[in-house]
Amino acid sequence: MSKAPQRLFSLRWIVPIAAVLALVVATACGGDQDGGPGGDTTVPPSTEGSQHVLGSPQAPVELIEYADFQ
Amino acid sequence: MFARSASPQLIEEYVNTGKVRYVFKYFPFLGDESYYAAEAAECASDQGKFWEYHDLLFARWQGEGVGTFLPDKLKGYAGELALDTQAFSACLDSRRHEATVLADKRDGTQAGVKYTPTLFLNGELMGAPRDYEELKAKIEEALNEAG
Repeated sequence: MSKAPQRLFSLRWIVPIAAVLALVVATACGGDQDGGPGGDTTVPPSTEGSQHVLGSPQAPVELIEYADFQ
Repeated sequence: MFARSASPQLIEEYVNTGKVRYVFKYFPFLGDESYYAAEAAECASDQGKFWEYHDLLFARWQGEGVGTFLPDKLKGYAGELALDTQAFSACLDSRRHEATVLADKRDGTQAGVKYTPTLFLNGELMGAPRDYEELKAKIEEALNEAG
């Protein structure tokens, strides 16, 4: 008698838990990547791009400039 | 442009004193000459002269698409810096650094760059400061936050 209600209780939570997990995964995989003001403004690290740096790696502030020579 | 005006002051006041780490990235978006210039800078970097070439390109700037950064001109600038011009020309003609430049542009685009110069301070997009004083104020704020 006690088995059936317990299984129903578990099933009832599967859908909301799955929905929350899906939301977490979607956000982590780029749910906000418009990149504009208010978006994800963190510069992603790149191992393929250029590596031109001046200053100490221990400097407390990092300034990245994107530039066009023209 | 930031690199022509504010950059020397920034380097003297903050980079050389260990307070700021300055990272330069390519974001060519004004036509073929933008790409040629960026790839040429990488070719100069191959010979250990990136910053010298970088400064020379900004010094030679005359406007957009006026021929200042066509391959023959870029090879001439390499000669001015006493680079190995044969190796430089072979590098530039091969387009061997195209992928590096495109990777910078892709990273910038993903981070929200739409024009140049665009600056990021500790990873936060701050756009283009109006002048050195505005940049300086932002840096001082970041330094205070860092303790």
